[in-house]
Amino acid sequence: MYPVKYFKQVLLGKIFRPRTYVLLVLLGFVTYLYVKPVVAFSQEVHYKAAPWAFPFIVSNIYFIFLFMLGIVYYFSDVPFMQYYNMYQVIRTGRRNWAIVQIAAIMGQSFFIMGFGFLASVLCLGGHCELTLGWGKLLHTSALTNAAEHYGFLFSVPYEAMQRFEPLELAALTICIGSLVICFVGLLMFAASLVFNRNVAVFLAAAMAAAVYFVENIHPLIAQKVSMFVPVSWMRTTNIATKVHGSYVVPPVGYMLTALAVGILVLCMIILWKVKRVEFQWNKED
Amino acid sequence: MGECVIEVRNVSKSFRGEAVLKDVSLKCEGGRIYGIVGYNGSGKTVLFKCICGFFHVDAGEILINSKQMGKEIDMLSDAGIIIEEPGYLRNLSGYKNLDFLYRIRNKPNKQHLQDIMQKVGLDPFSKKHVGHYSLGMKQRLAIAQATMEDPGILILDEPMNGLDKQGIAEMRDFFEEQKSMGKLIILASHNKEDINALCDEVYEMDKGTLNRVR
Repeated sequence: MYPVKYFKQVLLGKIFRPRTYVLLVLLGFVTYLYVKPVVAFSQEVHYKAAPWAFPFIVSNIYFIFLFMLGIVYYFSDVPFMQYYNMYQVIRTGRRNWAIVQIAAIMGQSFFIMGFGFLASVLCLGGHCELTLGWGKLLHTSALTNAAEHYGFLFSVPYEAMQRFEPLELAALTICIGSLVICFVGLLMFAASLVFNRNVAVFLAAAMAAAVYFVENIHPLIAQKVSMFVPVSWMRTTNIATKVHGSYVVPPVGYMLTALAVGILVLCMIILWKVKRVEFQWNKED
Repeated sequence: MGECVIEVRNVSKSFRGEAVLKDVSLKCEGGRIYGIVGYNGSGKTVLFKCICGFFHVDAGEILINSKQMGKEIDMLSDAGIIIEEPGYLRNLSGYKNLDFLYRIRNKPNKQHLQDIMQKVGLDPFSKKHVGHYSLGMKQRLAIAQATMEDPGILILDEPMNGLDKQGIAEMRDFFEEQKSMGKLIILASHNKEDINALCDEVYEMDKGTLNRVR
């Protein structure tokens, strides 16, 4: 078997398909809606915007909820038992097939987050200033009521700008976001193997909805509760933000460790279960 | 007679309490064609899926070259299969679908794939996506897919589906040629003519039980 070539082909096949195009169009459109007020602000004050709005957009609760619903839709073809997989499994064996599906979920997760970042930059169009700093526009948005005035759909916490360099926060957002998407994708894959697809979709949708729960509980216990809600960790600007003297997301080290362990455990469940599962092929494309 | 390669021993299989295979036994050797006839829902496809390793058996065992399916091996790897509907990546051409599957275990071989497509009556240079193929073309592509890696075993569930008379005649010759190369072929078909013309042994599957009829 040629696993690297096979993985490459499977990943490309999963990226270049209608399901991905639907997700990317929706993601691009919602991102455009979020970036539009920044463009309006930029036009008004004749200052270009730095390309680092993405972490602030992702930290918005409505954006993250819609985004995660898109992810649930994207991975809802689990456990990948469409007929065309039948000819692959017979050639690879159960274990190798599952390993490649796991690796493809990881690859897709980084691709989607990378696309999200790119979309936020492209939506700025000619109003984007290529700088490694936060830029005047984001600074002004953080320190004045300009964001409210121009109808920003996300907040720009100054604490995040103080604690992180722009590139650092963007990289952290893409990294944690990709790992969370990967975790949700693998959870859906594992749940669909152990139970069925309906359970997988329900679990993932419940995880997406849980960000509302974390948002609405008392800030003093928000951090403790959010330790069990990985989707809320994608709101990376909250890492530096205290509400009523308490942080509302866990420390970065905890998030990265918990995601790594969670992903590893899910991989083990998938590899254990795929040995025993009965392949019920279906027509769905 | 060739070496025994597939042995199904007293296999039973149920779904939600309903027995689909009941104490099925079958011994198959290389260089022969085995036919299985039976109505829809009689258990032919389930038997094929058990032999391939897609389903686990509830009782009994399946041996492939003396190795137990589900314990020593988890898939019938040295096999070309056509089971139920031929499934492909719809937005790729027939050639690209074959190339994708071929590359899983082999180095790319353009000429070989072009030859095999021509052999089953398909144009390897056509850019037409498989999603626009007729049932007959999909079936021909399935046969190319099953045979392109020169496997020792062919598991073919209704391989003549959707083929016209000329196509059926061509495929019969093709399967005879495969048999003469020492391959073991298990064939399920509704068409008695196909079974009579091709098979050395014929079995009937009826409500989960398998009986030899010829």
